[in-house]
Amino acid sequence: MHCDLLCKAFNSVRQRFQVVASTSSTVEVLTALQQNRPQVVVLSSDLQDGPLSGLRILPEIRRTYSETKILMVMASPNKEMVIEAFRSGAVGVFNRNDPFDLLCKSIEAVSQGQVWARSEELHYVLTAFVKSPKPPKLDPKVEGRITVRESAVVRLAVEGLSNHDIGQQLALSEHTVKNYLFRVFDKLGVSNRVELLLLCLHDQENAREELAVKKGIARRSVAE
Amino acid sequence: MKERRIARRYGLSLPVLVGVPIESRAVAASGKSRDISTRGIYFTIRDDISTGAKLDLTMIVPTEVTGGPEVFIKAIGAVVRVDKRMENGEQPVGVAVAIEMTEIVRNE
Repeated sequence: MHCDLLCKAFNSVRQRFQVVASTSSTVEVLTALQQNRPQVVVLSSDLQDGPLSGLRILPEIRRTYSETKILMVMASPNKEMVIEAFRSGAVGVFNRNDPFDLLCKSIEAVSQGQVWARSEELHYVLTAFVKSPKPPKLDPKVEGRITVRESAVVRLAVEGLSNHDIGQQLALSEHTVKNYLFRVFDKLGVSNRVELLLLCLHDQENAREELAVKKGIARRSVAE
Repeated sequence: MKERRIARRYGLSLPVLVGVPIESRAVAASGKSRDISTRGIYFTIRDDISTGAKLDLTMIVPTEVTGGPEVFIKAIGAVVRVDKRMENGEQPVGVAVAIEMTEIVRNE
């Protein structure tokens, strides 16, 4: 119902947008995306499949259609939902109760590569970003031997994430994660992810000791 | 003497929680690792442990090292050697364990 009304409203501003599909279930959304590859998806957080079903398919859309900008429409954008939407790949959040003209503006903004959120919502995201842990500090000796992508996989693997979870976070398939890990094992001469963690810890400890020695030498030189 | 190790050892000093199942009741103690490989661990502990005992081990990886959530290395193994305690009896004892299984677990 809401979907149809919205579609009619968009048709009234045809000069600004071309609506390529309008659907209301997760399966239909994914099919429509595959068939049309739109520039922007206006996705409700709650689809026919149940509450937050729209939010749940965000990572899959992000992973499969990385060129498509996702504007998440929410009935009442609360802190957790806003953070989750941005974390899952949305580039904008829109309050369903806001006027239609504002929705048009938000679509144009995200299609041009801008982020759409109220300052309060941006504040949620920034606060979550500040609170989130820093990426693990891999030793440069380990990092120097592997590519940037491989090191991202290593960071998550030594945090105990499964291949599936690593894939979700880095928008990779499980199979690709497995390939990256095997390549890293081969390069670093380790046999599994526990040994990978041990190697990272060991190299880090060595680096710290080397740094302490250098600092000690520097301090002695200053004293002399 | 012939080298018999099949996995590389890493000299790492990590806190180790040691679970010793005694008559089906798990008793926990804490120690400190001296070196770890994927096949074995050597740690020191103040409590008495006998050769042959099956242990549940949890090595704690400090968060400042991973930069993310706290991570544990969980292992199951059997004691293969216990180094003799010093004469005064208050020194920690060294324990060598052959590991059967290891995994990385996140503290979530």
